[in-house]
Amino acid sequence: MSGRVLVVDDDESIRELVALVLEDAGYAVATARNGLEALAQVPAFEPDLVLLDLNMPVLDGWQTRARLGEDLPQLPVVFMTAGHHPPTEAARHAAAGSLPKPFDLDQLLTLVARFAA
Amino acid sequence: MGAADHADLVRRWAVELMSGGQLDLVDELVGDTLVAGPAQTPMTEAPRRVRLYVAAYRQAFPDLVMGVDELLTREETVTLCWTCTGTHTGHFSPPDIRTFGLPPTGRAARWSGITVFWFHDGRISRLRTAQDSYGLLRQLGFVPALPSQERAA
Repeated sequence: MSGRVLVVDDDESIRELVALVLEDAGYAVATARNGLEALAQVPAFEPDLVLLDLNMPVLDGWQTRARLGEDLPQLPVVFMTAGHHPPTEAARHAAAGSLPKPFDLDQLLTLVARFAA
Repeated sequence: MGAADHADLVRRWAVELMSGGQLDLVDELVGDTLVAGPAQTPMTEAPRRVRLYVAAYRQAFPDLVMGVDELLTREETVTLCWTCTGTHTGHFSPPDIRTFGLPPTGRAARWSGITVFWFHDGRISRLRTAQDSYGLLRQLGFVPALPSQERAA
C-alpha cells in the first residue's frame, strides 16, 4: 500500500493524529494547516487523495476545492466537515465525498482505501 | 536508576507533562520505542505518539489536571492511580478512543484510571492503562446513561 494522502486541517490534533494513523496504515502523508499551504504542497507531493477541512483560516475548504478543480480536476477531495453540511453539498462542489466529524478510525481508513490504496 | 528515580519520572509524567503540558519533556521521559495500547504492541516514534496523545487531551481540556492518588513502586514497575479533571472546551480526538473531532461541550469532567509503567535505561519503555473512558464520554454527553441511571435521575 503506497497511496499518498494530503491532510488539510487547522486543528493540529486532528491533522497530526490522522496523519499518524494513515502512516501506520502504510500511506505516505503530508499535512497542511490551511488551503494556501495545501495548494503549495500539491505539485511536489502529488497526492492521490486530499482530506480537506472546510472551516479554516487563510483559505477555507470551499475555496481550496475550487482552486484544485481548476488545475487538477481529477484529484479526489474529501471534505472533513463539522457535520452541518449534507453529502449533496459536497457533491455540488465536486468533492469525492465527505467525512463528517466526529468520525472514527474505521470510517477514515475505509474511505481513504477507496481512493488512495 | 532505582525505584525512587522511576517514581520521580512517573510523578513528572503526571504533574509536568499531563497537567503542565510540557511536551518538551517527552524525549526525556519516554524511550524511542514504547510498548503500549490495549494490544501492548511495540511502537516506534514513541515520543511523537506520546506528544500527540498528550496534546489531544490538553487541546480538549486546556485546564487538565492529572492528580496523583496513589504511587506504588516495585522493583521493575511503578503504578500510578490517577484522577483527571478538566473542562471540555476544545475539540477532542482521543487516540485511545479512536475518534476524531468530538466537538467541545463546555462540560466539566472527572475521570480516573490506573497506569503501570516499566522502564529501560532511565526512561519509560512500556505502559499499560485502564481508565474510565465510558464515564468520561458519558459526562460529556457523547454516550447515553444506562437505563437505571436515567430512572434514578
